[in-house]
Amino acid sequence: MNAKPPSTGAHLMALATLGFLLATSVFVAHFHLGAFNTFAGPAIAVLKAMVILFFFMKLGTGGVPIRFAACFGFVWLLILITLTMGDYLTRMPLGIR
Amino acid sequence: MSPTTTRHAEQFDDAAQQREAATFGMWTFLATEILFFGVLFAAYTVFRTLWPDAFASGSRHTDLLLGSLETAVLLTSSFTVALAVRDIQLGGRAMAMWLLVATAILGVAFLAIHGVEYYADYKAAVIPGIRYEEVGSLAPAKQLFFVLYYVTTLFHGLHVTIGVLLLALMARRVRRGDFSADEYTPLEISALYWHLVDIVWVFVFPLYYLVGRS
Repeated sequence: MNAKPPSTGAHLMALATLGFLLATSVFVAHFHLGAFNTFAGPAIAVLKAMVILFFFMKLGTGGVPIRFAACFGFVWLLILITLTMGDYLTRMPLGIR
Repeated sequence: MSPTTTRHAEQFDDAAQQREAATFGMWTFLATEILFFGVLFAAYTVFRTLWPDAFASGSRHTDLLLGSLETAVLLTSSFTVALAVRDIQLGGRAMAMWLLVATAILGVAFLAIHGVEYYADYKAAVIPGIRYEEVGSLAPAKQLFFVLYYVTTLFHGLHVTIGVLLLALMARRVRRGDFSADEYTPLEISALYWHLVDIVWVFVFPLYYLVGRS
């Protein structure tokens, strides 16, 4: 059951990747890239979260039930935001038909 | 409660099964935590879509340097707690204890930096309901940004505080020799909790600190 843990060097590499992604997100935020500005920060945050989930939290080596539990947290969040935005973006001012 | 033995509760076949059940339980709890903060992120998405200029203006009030520093501190703390678990898995003890202490100190540093930010916000009078002196057409909608900012960061800070206490307790248990290479489940699930606190901040940072900077 106890898989051999990753080396200290691999942990350092993960930290360096996270530092690079942090610097990239701050750097990119200072350029006017139109609509891309809205998505760049969250997209880089997803990459950072992936590094933490799969390297530090070892999600990839967990059993199927663990991966399901982790996935469903994010799936429910996606459903919540999609349905909420679906409502707000399709509302029209009162009186207009 | 003898230390360094692979004990397990009677409903489990062995310690490995018990660890898997505990880890699964922790991941299920973390899924509910994602939804807890998810509601705040959903509210953010709605308000930012409705009032994009107010949110860009509000975001420029936040301190980018301190926010980046806080992010770096939390990312480093995830690294140190992962190393602590690794050390225990390899049969270590002293190094793991100091790594956990370092992680807790980084958590306290995060809270202290955030305290500095809140004080600056108070002086700048951008705290709705307490001291809010913004004027102009965007001022009312900017209150929504600040309300969400404080609710999100205060709840996150509460989670960091709980994590710091948990890590301090784990450091004490490591020092006492409660864990071994075969049995370290409480440490592992405490580390999972800490990583989730880090992940939440990873998303808070771009949403509240990086908008409207270009």
